Amino acid sequence: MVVSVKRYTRQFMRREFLRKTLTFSAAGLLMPVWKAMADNGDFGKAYPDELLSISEYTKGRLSVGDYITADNVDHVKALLDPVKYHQIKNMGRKLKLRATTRDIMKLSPWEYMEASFRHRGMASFNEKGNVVAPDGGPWIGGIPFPEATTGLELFAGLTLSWGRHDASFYAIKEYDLNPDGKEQYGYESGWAEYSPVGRLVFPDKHWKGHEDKLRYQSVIFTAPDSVRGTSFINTWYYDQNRFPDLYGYIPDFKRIRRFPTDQRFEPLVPGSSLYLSDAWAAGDPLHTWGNYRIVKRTPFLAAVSGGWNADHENWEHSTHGGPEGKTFWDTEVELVPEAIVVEAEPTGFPRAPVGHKRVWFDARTQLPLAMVTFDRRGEMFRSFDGAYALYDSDDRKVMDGKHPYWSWGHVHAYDVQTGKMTRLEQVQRIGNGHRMMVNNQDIYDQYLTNAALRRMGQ
Amino acid sequence: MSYKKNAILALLSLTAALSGSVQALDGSLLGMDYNISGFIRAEMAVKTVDEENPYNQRGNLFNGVAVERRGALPQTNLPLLPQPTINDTAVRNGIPADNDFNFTQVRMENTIQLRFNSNWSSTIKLRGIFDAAAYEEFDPEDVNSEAVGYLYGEPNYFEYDDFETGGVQNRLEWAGEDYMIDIPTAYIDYQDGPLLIRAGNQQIAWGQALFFRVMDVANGLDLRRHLILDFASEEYADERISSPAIRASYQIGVWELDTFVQMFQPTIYPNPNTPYNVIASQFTIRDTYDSVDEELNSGFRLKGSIGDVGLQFMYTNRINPDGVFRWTKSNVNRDAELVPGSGSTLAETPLEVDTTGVWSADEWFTYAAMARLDGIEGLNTLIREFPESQTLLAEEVDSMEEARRELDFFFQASGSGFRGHIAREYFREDIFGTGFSYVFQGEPGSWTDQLILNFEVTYTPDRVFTNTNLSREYIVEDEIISALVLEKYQRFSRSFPATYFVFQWMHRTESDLFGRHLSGMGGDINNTPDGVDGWDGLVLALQQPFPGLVWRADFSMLYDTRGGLLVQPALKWKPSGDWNIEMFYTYLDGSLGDNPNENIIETIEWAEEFGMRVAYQF
Repeated sequence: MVVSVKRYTRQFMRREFLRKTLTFSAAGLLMPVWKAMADNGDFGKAYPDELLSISEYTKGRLSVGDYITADNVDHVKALLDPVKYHQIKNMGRKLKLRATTRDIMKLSPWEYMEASFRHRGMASFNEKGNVVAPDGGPWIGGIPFPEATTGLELFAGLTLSWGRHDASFYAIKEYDLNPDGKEQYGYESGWAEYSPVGRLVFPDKHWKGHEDKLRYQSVIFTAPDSVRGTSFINTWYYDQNRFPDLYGYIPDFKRIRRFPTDQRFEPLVPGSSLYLSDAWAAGDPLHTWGNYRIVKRTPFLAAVSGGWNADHENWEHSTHGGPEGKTFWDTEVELVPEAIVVEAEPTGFPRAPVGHKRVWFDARTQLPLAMVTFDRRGEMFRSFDGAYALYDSDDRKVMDGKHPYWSWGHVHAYDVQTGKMTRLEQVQRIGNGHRMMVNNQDIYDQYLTNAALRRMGQ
Repeated sequence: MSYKKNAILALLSLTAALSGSVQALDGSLLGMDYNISGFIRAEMAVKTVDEENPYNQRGNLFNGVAVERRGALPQTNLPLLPQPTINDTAVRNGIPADNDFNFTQVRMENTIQLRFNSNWSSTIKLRGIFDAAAYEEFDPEDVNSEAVGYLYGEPNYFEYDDFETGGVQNRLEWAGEDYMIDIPTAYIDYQDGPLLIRAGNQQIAWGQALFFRVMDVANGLDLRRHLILDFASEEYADERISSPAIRASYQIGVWELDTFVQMFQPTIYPNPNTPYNVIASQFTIRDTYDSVDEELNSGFRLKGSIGDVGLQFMYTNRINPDGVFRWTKSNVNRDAELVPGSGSTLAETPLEVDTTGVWSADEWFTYAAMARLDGIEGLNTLIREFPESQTLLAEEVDSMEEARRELDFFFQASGSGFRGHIAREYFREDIFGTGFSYVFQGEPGSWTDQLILNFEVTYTPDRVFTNTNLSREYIVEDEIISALVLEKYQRFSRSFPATYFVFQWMHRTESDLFGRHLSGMGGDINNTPDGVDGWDGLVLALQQPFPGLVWRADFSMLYDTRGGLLVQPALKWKPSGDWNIEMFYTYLDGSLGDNPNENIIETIEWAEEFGMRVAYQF
């Protein structure tokens, strides 16, 4: 009989996480995780085995390949955000367990992680609260504060780069379900992001003449007919105290018009539960939110890998759960050894329906794993959880330069108070031939200029 | 009544039937991506007032009304003879209508998008509209009318081009009495970096102002379907006339140069005796489009910003699509009943004897005022510019009294009434414009935070206007048109999305919103117009989406500062991804000022209605 002797108990881990939270320490229990990764290329040395294996963590009750269901979810309740737990316990959601991904370079774009190591320790905030490089100019790419000890540092990195590529065009299918689990609305859209600064693949680190901008971003709707041609361009300033400029093309008006940009807590199209403010859990300029604070550190179950459905020609995902079996994406999750839970308040939006939001960050990559917002009464309001993927599956892969494409695969945006669910998925192609693109300079001209908006309008 | 009911039922049935049989298509073929989608929509508007359209034969204000006529020849013609006054009573023989509906149409739109590669793409939109015509229509036989012209018999809802044979002017349109099929969009795009070239049939719209057209001068309007009384928040989406054009834009940094060359395409007015006709049906219009149908319009706009201030500069050289009107020969040889042999002379004047014409001086002056014309000078011009009329003893007059006597005399002599023939002509003009925009940054949540200010102004030297006397000597004056636009999203509660507000103020120095010269304002049955200085219109519009955006409440108000008010509350409902329902009530009051004939709303006051549109998209 083999007796497994645990070196670290749950109490130890809980106590250590609490201590690190209270002392504003960097991530990692046994040693700083970024030091471990830099030294050894592996974060394993920063955490005890119990935080690297779901089987170890649950004392064998759950293993890789198992499904978390209503019957066994209580074993991992502490590893889930409250909305996900509710969905599994009461709404028929299931999560399939997969092994913890140990290669950190597979958990974000390769160039982004490489720059994060290379630029470690070089970022600081200037007097306006914007992240700057040692020369005082815009940040030079990668995670600015890998060993973040404050909520502001974590959100600063997330706001600086959403998709972690120099340029992205996501082809998206959206499904809006009513509380009965029926698909009531459906949309096809494209979402473009283009970084004029801190670029890691494009030849110029900063795009000359655009150094005062952080991001160009647009959303275009290609279906159904009632919204086709509707599009908006956000031009984000590098100064995170300013709202972006917003221009939109509304087919009825037949022209591009400027729009106010401070209303970010409303869906863009009927039936959707997704707000502009939700984008990447950091959809608003950094300093339009405030009171950033780390409230907790905890192991967590999240879909940081396996979110790409290579088996479908258009990468579309399958569903389960809810009254009609369509409410949730089929999702694989793995044990993330340390998540940093940060709360923030919408200080720049006095009448926002959100009182505060809580975001779970992966301590290793600082990726947002989940977000739950709370209304002004403190009641749970909405949740936002996504699945990431390296687009590399056996013999099939999507390349991004020299490395496989890394991105998100699907997202749930769930309104806890109304029971409405919005599901989004990244697909290869949407109507009229708009296809996923990454680190392609053409993305700017094709999706992020007035001419582009007019071309896509009808 | 049963016909109307059946027509409405047919509309709804057709919409429902088609909704189940069509679907969107999307895919790739021979390396080309394609996408086909569209919608079917039943559209109707129920009248909410008893008034009929006074510009139509069956809504004529004098139908069945006994009018005392006191005709006499001018003193100057026969100075040595007594001038007896001939008194009689005229009762116009038009049969008043009692319509329930202003609008009963079904439309289908289908858009095909093709993408050949990242540089080349194409969009084609096919639009088909059928009017169930659930209206009490004009029938010329009921009033013994022999009026010449394709459009002056039974109503034709869509054809408008040739005086004798109908047809259409749009190059990509086919129409019949109660249907039209056109291709409002058919262009190919070429994009290479900051360069975009679009060639083909297209709409071009410039400027930030909505509904008030300051810089939006490239295209005329097609007012045949629902005039300007559609769902207000759609602006002129369905009205702006597409035209074959080449448009090229190039972006350098924050500046964009946008240029176009297009074939001229005029504004299309609703046909006589159709529900939204706004030109008195006692007129017969002879369009001269043939003389300018090869003409080109062109223009450019430079748009960008300096710091936080947005700037734009534009220039357009165009033929004014609205056109201008003047008296023209009728070429109708039909004798006045009491003057045998007068037909050949009348043919050399703008007059045509017919029961659908004007029957009395009262009617003449009433409609002159409604059309913003000068009844006395209109008469004098007709006599002066068509001297053949003087052989019938017509003479220019100096006073309202003389004009009434002479008009009544000739109407009495006609035995029924006189139609007036007018020509529509088009003139070229240059439009220079500029504008700026600024976004205020106030305290978060305050009224000044993210408040967008836009100001636009255009200057048109030597613009040509219809003379209030319908002379061939048109009014030519410089015109300045400006608009101030304020836009704001303001959130009032945490549970409801923000309310969108738009406030606009337009000022025009020479004409009203419909392009009529201001010197024609203020007339009535007893007075010729005094004219007014400047036209001002205010717009306040707001949109309040409900949580989830499934419902949206709109409110639009247009106030003409001389006493006209249009208010349109509306509700938009999207019960599912496939269906879309819009309901809107349009309230119109043109009598809030001293003289209704000084504001634009009086012209359409009879069109107060409740509108509804039910659309299925595919």
